[in-house]
Amino acid sequence: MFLKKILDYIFGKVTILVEGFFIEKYINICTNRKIELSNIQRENSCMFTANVSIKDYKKLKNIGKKTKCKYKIVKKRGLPFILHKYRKRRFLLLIPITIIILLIISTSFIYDIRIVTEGEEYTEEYKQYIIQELEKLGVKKYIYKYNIDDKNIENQMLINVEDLSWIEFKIKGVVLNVDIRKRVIGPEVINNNEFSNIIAIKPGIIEKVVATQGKSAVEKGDMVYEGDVLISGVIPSEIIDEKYVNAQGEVFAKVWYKEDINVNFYEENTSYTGSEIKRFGTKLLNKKIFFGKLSTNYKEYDTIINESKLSVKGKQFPIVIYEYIIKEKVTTSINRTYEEALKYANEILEKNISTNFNQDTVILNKSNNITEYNGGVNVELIYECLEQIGTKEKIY
Amino acid sequence: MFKNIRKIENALEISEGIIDDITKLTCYSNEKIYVENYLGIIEYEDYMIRLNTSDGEVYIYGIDLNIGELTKDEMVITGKINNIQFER
Repeated sequence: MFLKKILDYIFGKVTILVEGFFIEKYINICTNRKIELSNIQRENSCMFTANVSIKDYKKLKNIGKKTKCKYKIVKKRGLPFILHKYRKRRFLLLIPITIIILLIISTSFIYDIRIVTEGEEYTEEYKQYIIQELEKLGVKKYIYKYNIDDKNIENQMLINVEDLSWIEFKIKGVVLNVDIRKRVIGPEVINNNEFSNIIAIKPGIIEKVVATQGKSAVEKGDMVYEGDVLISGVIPSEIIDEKYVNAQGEVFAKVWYKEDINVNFYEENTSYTGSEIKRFGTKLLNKKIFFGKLSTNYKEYDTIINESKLSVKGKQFPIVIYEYIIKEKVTTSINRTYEEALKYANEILEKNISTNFNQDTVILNKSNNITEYNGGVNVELIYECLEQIGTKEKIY
Repeated sequence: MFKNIRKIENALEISEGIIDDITKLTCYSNEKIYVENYLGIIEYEDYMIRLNTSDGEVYIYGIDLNIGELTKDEMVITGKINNIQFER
């Protein structure tokens, strides 16, 4: 019934009052002509009210004449009458339409990207990294949400980010939820069909040998040089032939690093400030002609002249083009005390040495040798470190 | 005629009034009557409705009788119904 009421409202309904002596005849003719009357109520002996749809109301004209009944509209209700009432006030209609359009437009953009995760292994930095990777593929805030090609981007993300095993986009309203799972990286697979030795990459004194596969060729306290075999992949046997394995293991050794540097107490440095003037010129009758001023306000400067031939689309023309560049430079003088010179030298040396370090390098000892000469100081820095020196080398 | 049709209906085990247009009156307590296959309204007052059917006339007596829905062969009568009377 509720659905019927809604339909009646949409298509419109009229309540009519019929007056006459042959009311039963009137109703019968209506039913024969397929005019649907509803809610027929007897008012008195020669009057009744009924509801008719707008469509059927137009068919009632002739029936009234036939049965000598008068009819008139008592009540109108429904959407068609409301629309008819406001048909000339079009701007009134414009307001709801614009509101709906604005709503649709404003909700078709993405205002926020949220990374959805489970577990504690996902740090904020990792989430930021994922958002940055998404931005590289064009997924960022304030983009049109129906333009996101999610399956393609998901696949591309799995290729781009190595430790990602699963990613899914879920658009909820104006928020893009990115569901991610990390990949659990398994241990490295040892290929037993390959045979290899472990050799030294640096000279040093052996401190510890842990051979998980293969035979250790050195002992604690041995001095090794670069290229020496530390763990051998060849296991000798008296009974059967030699056995070849893929040598595995770790070899720790004491390694020394040495660097030295001369630092003067007084130094002059020249550097370019970055500001420059460019002029172009050409050659006429063996004379160089430049366009524009060549003089500058710079106190110190370098001039560079580049020569090239004019070429358009690979074809060269016999016209020489000169490029005249004037670069400003600045000389600064530094005066160091003895302590400052030492500090400066140590900073540089530590920086240089640390470039040789591995991930697992442990510094055991530091020592400085300082020799002073006229106008400067020579600093020698020696590091004693403990680190892994083994690396794999195939036998064949 | 009707007897033969009843026999066919009994033989086929289908409910009555499907093959022919027999008049059906379904009463919902004393508040509502659902009439199917009537031929026309003879008289309509607020205390009585007289219907023409293929079997004869049907009188429905009551108080404040309204016709809720009305199509060519169906009608719904609402109100306080006191009496239903058949006449041949």
